[in-house]
Amino acid sequence: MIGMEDHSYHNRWRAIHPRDKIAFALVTLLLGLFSCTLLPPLSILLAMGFITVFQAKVPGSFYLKLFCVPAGFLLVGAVSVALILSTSNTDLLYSIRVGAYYLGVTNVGINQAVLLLTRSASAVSCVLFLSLTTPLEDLTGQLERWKVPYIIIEMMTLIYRFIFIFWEQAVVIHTAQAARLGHVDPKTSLRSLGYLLSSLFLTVIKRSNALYNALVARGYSDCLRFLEEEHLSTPWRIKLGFVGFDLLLLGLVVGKGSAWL
Amino acid sequence: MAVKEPKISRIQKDSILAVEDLSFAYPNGLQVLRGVCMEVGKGSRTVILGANGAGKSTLFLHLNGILKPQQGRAFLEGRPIAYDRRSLAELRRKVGIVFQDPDSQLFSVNVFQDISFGPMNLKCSPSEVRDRVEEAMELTQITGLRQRPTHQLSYGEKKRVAIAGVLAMNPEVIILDEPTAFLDPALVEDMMALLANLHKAGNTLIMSTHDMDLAYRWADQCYVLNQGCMVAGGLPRDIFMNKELLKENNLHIPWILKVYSELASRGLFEEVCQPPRSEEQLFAGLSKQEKSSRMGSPSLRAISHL
Repeated sequence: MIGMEDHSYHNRWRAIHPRDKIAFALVTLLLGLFSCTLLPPLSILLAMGFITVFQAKVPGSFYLKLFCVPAGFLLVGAVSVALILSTSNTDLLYSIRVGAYYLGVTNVGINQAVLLLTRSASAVSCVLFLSLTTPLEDLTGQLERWKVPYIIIEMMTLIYRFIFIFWEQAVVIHTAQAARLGHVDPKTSLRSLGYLLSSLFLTVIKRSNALYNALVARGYSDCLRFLEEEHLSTPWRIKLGFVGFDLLLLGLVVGKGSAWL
Repeated sequence: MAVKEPKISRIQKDSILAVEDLSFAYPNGLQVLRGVCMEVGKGSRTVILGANGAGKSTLFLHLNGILKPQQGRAFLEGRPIAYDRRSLAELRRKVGIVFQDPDSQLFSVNVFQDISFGPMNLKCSPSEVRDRVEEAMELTQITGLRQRPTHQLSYGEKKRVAIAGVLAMNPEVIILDEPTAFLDPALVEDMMALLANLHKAGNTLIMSTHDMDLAYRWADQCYVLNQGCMVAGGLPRDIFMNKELLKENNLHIPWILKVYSELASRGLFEEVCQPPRSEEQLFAGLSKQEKSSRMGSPSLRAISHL
């Protein structure tokens, strides 16, 4: 989590206009989710991975590690879709007996699970592409230009800032606890964690009051307004690539792509 | 010469900020301010001294209209502060606060954005906002940090960004809550140089600090808060020469005054009506002495070699 925003600031695609990155990520994500075949999500997965790692130069090892976090959830989800509980084992490809029932998989189930897995993975790759190449300030700036209600942009900004305040505070408390042997064994560690959480929330409430005072002191009245620094543009090759790729996907999704896979 | 309790019968015309009989208790019942009187001259450098929890920060929140007095009044330029939206906006344009913990002040994602927040609230045009942000970044020497995310800054950098955020609003009065706390010596020097520039530019500065040496050398007006009561106010030398007052309020004597009184008591420093304010003044007084009594005691020569 904490490494992510470093890359969002320092990557080769930082200067690409956030409008284009958001649009590309969003359209591609939707196309991947609407696909009934494997080819579109698989090509999205490859394309997004390629762009993020080889074009934007986000380190591959970091990207893979980051991908593993949702991958765990995806696998569990896919397995539970594939598994079927049935009274007879006639339709089941493989099965084991559990009391009076059979727990197994069917052909259809496996296909469904694989499709679900690739579709979700392609969606994850779109989100990772956007969040690793675009810092939050560019996102909120673009949302503002798209006339998204201020309250949402404000919430995004403050939540983002508070993630770091929470995190830093948690690290400080954890260090202070560890220095007094608060994490010497699992039982102590669990109790310390409880202290950590309760004091974390108290601190953050205090902090948010202080933050509110500081905002008011600088004339905050109705909404958080900042000045955007304009420094972003997208080369035409990349725009063309975005449009071309999404059109190709659209063709595959609408044409079912059954001829290929 | 004598330090008297600051009782203000009527607010002077030349004061830019003042409070009169100000009392405030937090909702949990903690009485933080008890009948505080204070007056800040236009263009002055005012220091508020007092132990932790004496009520300094709460007093500051009143000067910017964030807290409303429960008893007593606050004045801006001799007129009582009104608490409607427009008067408050005006007050906050004129009086800026730099909070002690920069993390409670920086909330945006990058430095440039955060500094632009104040001028945007003043409804300046985009080009004017940009000019003000640039100017504030230059004054605080953080132009190189403009694109940096706020959470990656060091403490000293955050502090400077917080100050720039207030400067960009062009306030007349700048309140600094312990601006030198946690800074390394070089950054303290930078901070004091910045404050000197601001003072030269005509700003009124109010600062709380626990650094007696700094307060003595810098201030032209000192107030002492103790458990919510303003126990003294006056010229720094009157406050800091008053040993009883210092003792009662757990303050200590600045080293310059310590050395000066020691030298004076041994007859090595000519007793003057104005004790030295700075290192330079102290040493200057010494060398003059040495010349006039070159045959003097050896201890003097030892000291002048310090």
